[in-house]
Amino acid sequence: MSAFCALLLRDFRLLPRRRTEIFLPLLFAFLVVSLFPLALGPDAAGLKNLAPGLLCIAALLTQFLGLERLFADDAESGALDLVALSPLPLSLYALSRMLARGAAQGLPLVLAAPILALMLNMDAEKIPALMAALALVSLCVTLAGGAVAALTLGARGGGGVALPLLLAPLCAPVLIFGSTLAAQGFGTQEGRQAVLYLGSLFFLYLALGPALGAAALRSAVEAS
Amino acid sequence: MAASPSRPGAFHAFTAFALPACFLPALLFCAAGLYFALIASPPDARQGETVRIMYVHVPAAWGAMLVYAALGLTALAGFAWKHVLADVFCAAAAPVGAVLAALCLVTGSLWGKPMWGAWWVWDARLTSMLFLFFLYVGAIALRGAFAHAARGAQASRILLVLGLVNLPIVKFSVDWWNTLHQGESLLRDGGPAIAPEMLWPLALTAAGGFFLCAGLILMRMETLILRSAAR
Repeated sequence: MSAFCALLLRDFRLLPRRRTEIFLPLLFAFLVVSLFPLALGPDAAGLKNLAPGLLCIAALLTQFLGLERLFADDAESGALDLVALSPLPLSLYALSRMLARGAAQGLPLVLAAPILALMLNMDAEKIPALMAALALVSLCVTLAGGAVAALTLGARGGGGVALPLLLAPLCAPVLIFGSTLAAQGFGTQEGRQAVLYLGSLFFLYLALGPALGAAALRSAVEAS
Repeated sequence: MAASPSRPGAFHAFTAFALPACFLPALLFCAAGLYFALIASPPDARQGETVRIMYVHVPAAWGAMLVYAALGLTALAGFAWKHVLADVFCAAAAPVGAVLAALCLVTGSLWGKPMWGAWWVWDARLTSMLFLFFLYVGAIALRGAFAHAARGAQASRILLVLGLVNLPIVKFSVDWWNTLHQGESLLRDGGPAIAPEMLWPLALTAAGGFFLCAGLILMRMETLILRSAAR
């Protein structure tokens, strides 16, 4: 357990040195959001209706960004082999990488969500629900995506092409409940249902993602 | 144990018996089913002749789901018992399932145009079948994505297990999201809501499709074993 904390702490300490890994995804999210009005038209009422879904898609795509590198650096430097030999379970190693990544790429977007929401003319009272939705969507996608990143580790072409193809179908429930929550807010029955479903999905992926990711990492270490 | 399918060496003895035992009923059931479906059954009162698409569409949908369930459970069992044939089955059955899902989508689209007035609608069942198709394609692509074949096989099986857990959730969430497709007609309280003269051809083509897929999967498994033995 102390090894797990040490790994997590190391990742968080390294964050200030990896500023591009924090700001580039945020910039990417802003770019995606500013591209939508160009394609859909600047009509404020229309954008207001589409905004919850658009922001959830932006959060989803932001999490896809650079996901194939999640374990690749450790695999290339040999750190992954050392972790596999150590008494630390691979699932805890995978969990620490996923959590650090979720914090680095998800949190800035959640904090920037009010600005993005106002750019798309969303109602101010829906913003807390939007932030909760974006946080849960980012976490779920990171946990499921981490497992898929471990699966494609060492694939031809670095797994960058195969990863979105494998991950997108798995993300459908998260996107459905996330955008429902963001659109309905906490005040409605549908919104409350959606936040409960989204929370249970988070716990499901918390249980499944690191475990399956560890199985995939084990086979990647054995194959190399 | 000569005819046991549980060892790769004994598998050929098993297929020598099992392949005719699959393809013969497949031929009989498909021929009888197609005769009743295309000629001897009445057109639907409201849907007219287009209802005959059902006799391909519904068995394809059942087959696509059944093959995925078999794939996911075999992948899971493969991790538990590390049986050699589990992986051969996963490699052999995934393309068959993908073709069934594609067939279901294409026939559904052809049926949807005259009935709903659109080739495609974002209905719950269509969408979850589309995602099932994506999962099949992903599992096939992942298997071929590695220079090391065993690594690809293992990654593909982990993805199948992930999909096995995720697929019911996709199905449920998409149902929650939107439903336009007609409700369950066969397995429901109060007996099937389908006329017996249409139920029989459907049962025949479904049985024929089942035996055909079982035979195709066994044939592919035998080919894969022979190919790996030749290397």
